[in-house]
Amino acid sequence: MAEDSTGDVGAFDDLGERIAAAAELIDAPEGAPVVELRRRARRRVRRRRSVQAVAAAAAVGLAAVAAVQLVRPAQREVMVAEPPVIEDRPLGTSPGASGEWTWRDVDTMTSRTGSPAGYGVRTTAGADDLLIYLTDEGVCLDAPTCDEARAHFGAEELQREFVDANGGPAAGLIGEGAPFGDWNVVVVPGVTGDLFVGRRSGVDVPGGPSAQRFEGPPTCRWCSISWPRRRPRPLGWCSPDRASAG
Amino acid sequence: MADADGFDEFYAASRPRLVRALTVACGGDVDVAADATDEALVRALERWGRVRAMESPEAWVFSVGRNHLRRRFRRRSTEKRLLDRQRPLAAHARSADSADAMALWGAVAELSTRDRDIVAYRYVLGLTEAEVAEELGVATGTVSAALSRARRRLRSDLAEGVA
Repeated sequence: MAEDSTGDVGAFDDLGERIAAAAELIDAPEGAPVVELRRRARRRVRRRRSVQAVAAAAAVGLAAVAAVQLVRPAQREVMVAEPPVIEDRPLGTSPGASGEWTWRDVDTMTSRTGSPAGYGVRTTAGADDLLIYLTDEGVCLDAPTCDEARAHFGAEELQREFVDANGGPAAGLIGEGAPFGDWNVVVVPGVTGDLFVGRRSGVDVPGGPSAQRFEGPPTCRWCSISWPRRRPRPLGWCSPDRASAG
Repeated sequence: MADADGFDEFYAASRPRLVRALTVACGGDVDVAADATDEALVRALERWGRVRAMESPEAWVFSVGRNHLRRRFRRRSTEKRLLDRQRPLAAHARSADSADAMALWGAVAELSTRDRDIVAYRYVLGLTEAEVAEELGVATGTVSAALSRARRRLRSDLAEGVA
């Protein structure tokens, strides 16, 4: 036989051949049929792919969470920072006593009739929470809709619709005994009539009011008055779906 | 069914030899070796396109089976101890020369795990020393030395048996 490089000789110099011959005598039991092996292989491949898919999804999820964690501190900082300052006074403070409502006009806010617009504030002693309530407005598109849409909201309306009515349209939220009844509240009425996307003055609505001033963007901009540039604005803060001034 | 990928042919030709080689490598339990062979064949099927293109698919399957055995034995050290006790391989010999075979396997079973692997590669699967070295990732000289050591040990054990 062709011997290994070790060059062993002697009485057992055919060990390799003897081992090979002896191995041939080992009974190899019947194994699983090839069909079964193929089935097992397919199952393992499927399982491996599933695991890979789950792992990939988990990796994406973790990456997303990590990304959110990177961004969130900035957002949190904004959310819990000092409240927006209007006319040098922090939003949420009011000259009124605890539980009293106060109306404040804001120079940059204008209703579609040109009258001043603003917001109402209710302070609650000891409350750290703030609810911003955006009222229904109604868009002014033609005579019927302009008739329906609110064109003005001021201190009188606040008194009548909210204060005297225990929260009025928001009674279920901010009225006495309601879930947010002991929170600080800011009511932002919608009066621009344009869903805050148009800016046009001196508009005569056919068959409807004339000299309408649609100042949506400048009014809406009040919402983000204290938000630094390049920082994400919270969704819903200026949502037009409720057509309010907030 | 047509053997489109050639695996069936490989299975028929190689499985008995793989079982024998793994029986030698694992120290004597042919049933454990058969399980390991089937497991290794399944793994080969998972990537058969690559495995069949290898120089020695049989050696690859043997290596996978051997690793499977090692992992299994690590997990089940009790079983390994039992296997060590119930050696030798001779129980699986079947010919009229079974006395010779029994003595030979008794000696092989006393080799170290590494040396048994090399004996299985070299004498059961029929790989050259260079091929064994490549499979194990060692130098050819290392394989030569291991074979020399194994043969010395076998020769000694068998001579004692004859005496």
